[in-house]
Amino acid sequence: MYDILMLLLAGILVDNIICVHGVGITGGPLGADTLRRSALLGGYVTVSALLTTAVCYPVYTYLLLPIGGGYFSTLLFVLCCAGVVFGLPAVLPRLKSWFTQNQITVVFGTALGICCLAVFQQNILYALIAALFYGAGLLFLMCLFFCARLSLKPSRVPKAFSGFAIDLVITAIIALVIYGIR
Amino acid sequence: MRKLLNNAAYAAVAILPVLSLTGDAVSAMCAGAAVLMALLLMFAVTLGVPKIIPEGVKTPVLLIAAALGVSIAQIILVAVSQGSQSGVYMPLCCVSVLLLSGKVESGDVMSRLLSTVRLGGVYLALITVVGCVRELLGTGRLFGASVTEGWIAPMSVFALPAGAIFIFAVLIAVFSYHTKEEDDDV
Repeated sequence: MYDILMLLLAGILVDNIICVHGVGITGGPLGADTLRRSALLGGYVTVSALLTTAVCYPVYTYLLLPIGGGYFSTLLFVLCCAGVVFGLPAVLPRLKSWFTQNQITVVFGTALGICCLAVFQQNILYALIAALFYGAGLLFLMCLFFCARLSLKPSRVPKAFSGFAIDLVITAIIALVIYGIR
Repeated sequence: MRKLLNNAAYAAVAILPVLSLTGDAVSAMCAGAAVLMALLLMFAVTLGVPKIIPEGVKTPVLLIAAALGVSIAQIILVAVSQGSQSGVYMPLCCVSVLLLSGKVESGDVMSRLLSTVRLGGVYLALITVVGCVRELLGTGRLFGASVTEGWIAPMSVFALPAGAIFIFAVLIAVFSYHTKEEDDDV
């Protein structure tokens, strides 16, 4: 239990997918317009990453690697992730009304990044735990980003920085703060 | 000029998913080349077999083309850099390809090809510049050769993702400032 708690803390803070690995940065600026949407986007990424890792890990480790087909990993990861991320809205049609196409593309990119990392774990259980906690780290950061954005709302931002640029500055500051915890 | 600025602003956003590949100039250039190659392969697929592919499965087919293009580039990268660690994140280039392909102009074959090459070229140039800036400021080296080592202390923050996000924030601010300025002129 203690180990799992430590792994969860690592996924959220010291080994955060955005702050340390630089994956899924567009998730914050594009997805955090409300707290509910931030949490939903984080959840969507976590579920997608978990499912993708669950499919990719056995195929990559037990099928591709033994026959020397490691070069097909990109094809495998991309197709699995695309199938899960773009297929989930077909199973849950409400997802289509919650997210725009750009946000779904962001989910695809982030889930793919998490899968690329998780698949190199020593066994499938570790891989799934890593995917889950990297997703939890993203969810935490999305909520943190929303709060930071809300507190910045009354401030006057230079014209050139208004919009996406100031969102990136907020993300960078949060990334720097969380990196400091290392 | 305006078209180029718009392309550059869009390319800057498309680079964000592969931010982890911009740590050094060589990795960044390889990622840019991979995206350009995948874009061209995607263009060839849409050009060569437009009638065979049913409308419903067009996106998966294009995604396979993008993944194939990135895979070929990854094989070249591994051969050139002899097992670089940045290869782990190479699949993320497909996200950039997906974002960029939505911005390719429609029209006749030539204008689509030109638009694809322009977008891919701007992407390659921009990602290489970001890679160079990060490597130079973060480690004092450029393409592995010592440049400012010894007389300027490396600012390691630029080697971290946070530093890269700052660079992108400034880049996007510059592009949006110039686009707004041109809008005011018109």
